[in-house]
Amino acid sequence: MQQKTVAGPLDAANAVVQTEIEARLARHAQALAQGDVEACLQLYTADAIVRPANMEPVRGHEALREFFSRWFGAMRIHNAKYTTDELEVAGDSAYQIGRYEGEVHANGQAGAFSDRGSFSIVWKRQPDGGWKYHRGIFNSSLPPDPATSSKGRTE
Amino acid sequence: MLVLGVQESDGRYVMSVASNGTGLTTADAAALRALIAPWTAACLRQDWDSLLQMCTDDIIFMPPNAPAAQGGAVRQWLEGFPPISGMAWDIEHMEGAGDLAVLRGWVTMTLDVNGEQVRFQASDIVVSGAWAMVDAIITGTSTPRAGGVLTRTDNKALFVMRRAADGSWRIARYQFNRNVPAQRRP
Repeated sequence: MQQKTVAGPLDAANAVVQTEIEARLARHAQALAQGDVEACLQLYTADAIVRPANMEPVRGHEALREFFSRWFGAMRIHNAKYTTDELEVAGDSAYQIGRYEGEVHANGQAGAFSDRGSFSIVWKRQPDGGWKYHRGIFNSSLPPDPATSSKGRTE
Repeated sequence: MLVLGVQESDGRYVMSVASNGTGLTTADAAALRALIAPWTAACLRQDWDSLLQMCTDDIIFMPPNAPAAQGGAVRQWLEGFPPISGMAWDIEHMEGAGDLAVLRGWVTMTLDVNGEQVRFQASDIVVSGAWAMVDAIITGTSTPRAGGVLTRTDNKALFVMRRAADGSWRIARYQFNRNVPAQRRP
């Protein structure tokens, strides 16, 4: 995928938004490595909905707090990196399509495995002018673990 | 500024007030709703030419556990999808404020391969200028047939829809995954 280029004066505005949201995702990556639940929550609107694979959608800060608490009880993500493939801003909303990668370190276990995948995020401009993650979904691009795969399933 | 209202009519929610500015207008809402019938017909016929005409040329499908499919690869993905013997959509709720609008609806599908009964629920549509985001939930219950393979479909999805040059709304990005862990088969 090529990054979307928007001609004209929107370029500068989009670049500003892209810089901000990528900085937010970079801070989120640090929080994932540190297991910092409260820092993770800073990324999201109060009524954000996140749609991880293989579980029900996670709705709102309280559910996200539990989600990240459980996550960090099991693992940390090191060197998470988010790459923007597309970003389009319209009014107080923006959508971003991109890719992620990172190292998954299971708690209490030596070694790690790499994961990479894609994500779609709808960002919402906040009253203070900043942007927060409002709706999103992400998937690993790697084949499922054979132990839990379901040959022939449909989506 | 967009102002939308919703009212119930004969047990159905309909949009009652038009936009007075940018964002979702009554015409936009009608156009988005108008995609339902031809999309359904194309799915039932496995008419991927027609279906792809409802998508942008650079359509991207982002299924789980596989690389994103773009352009021609989407057709391959569609050609691998089980035949759909039954499908229906409806819109349950629509509302908006500012340059955002939210819509909820559902679709049911019966897939021939596994005999599944699948319920689709679009929980949000956010429309902003030239694009719209559809945040969807897809749930299903297995209906095994003789010789069929038991599966459960319980998915969620996010669509980004883009207004094309001719003013029509087309699906531009589509990412989905499961709500439950994949189940091992006996």
